Amino acid sequence: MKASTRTVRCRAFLERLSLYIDDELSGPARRTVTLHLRGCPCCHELADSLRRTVVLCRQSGGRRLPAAVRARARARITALLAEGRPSPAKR
Amino acid sequence: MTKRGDRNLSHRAQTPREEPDYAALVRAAQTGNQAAVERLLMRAQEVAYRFSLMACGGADDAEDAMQEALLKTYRYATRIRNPEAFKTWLYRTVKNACLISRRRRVDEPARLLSLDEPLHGPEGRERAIDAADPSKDPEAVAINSRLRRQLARVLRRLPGPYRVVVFLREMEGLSTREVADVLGISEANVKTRLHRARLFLRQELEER
Repeated sequence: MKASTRTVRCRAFLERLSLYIDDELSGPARRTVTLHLRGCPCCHELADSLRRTVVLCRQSGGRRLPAAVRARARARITALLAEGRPSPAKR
Repeated sequence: MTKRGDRNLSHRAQTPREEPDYAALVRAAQTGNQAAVERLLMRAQEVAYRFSLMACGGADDAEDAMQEALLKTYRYATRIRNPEAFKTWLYRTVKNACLISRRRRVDEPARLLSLDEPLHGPEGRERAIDAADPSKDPEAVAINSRLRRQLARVLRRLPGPYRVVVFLREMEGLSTREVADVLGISEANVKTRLHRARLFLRQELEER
């Protein structure tokens, strides 16, 4: 099924896909979406690619500082604690 | 994007993430634990750096925001009555620091950087933003790196109010409630923005 064949019913499911992916739908609503995805290749593909997007975003987050930036951050902390008062920006 | 084949879509799209126990750190800092104070100060700067690069401005903004987050955390972290509230306080502080930093540079165009993209330090030398984990399969590392660069480019085209929700919710792992608290909007609004942002990102990434 191509995107152009997506129905009004499909669009209603589309609005709930993020809630579905985040497991925030109630049991009956969840089962309804699951059944629709099983029978609708168009929506199934969309849901699958949406989920891949979410995973990519989450994998791109929470990363450590690069070494040079971390070293400057560490130096700022050391200076701040040593002086016991705010230090000027070390750039 | 890399296809992963058919799967049970009912499973949540979760990624393991190291989540610091901010409340425990604040409590320890309030008893005079120096190590806890230092960890809080480093966390504050880490959050400010990522927020600046991914959601707000660029490298220069990041350094300003890190300094601001450091000072605010140093002044207020040990005075917070409810340690459980520290996390959202930190993100709100960082968001405000980034906005202040942007206003100072109002004549300069905002530019988002990928965490994989090289940038120039104050001394003019190019510095790497992040190093790929060498223990991983080189091909997988290359694919992930390429996808992250694509994501960073697409994020630049996402309007700010949507971009910041993606950053906080997906990249930093805040809950819907926490994002709503940080941004001062309703949880329903957070969900709506997140869904629209995901659809936009999906479409842009799939077309590449």
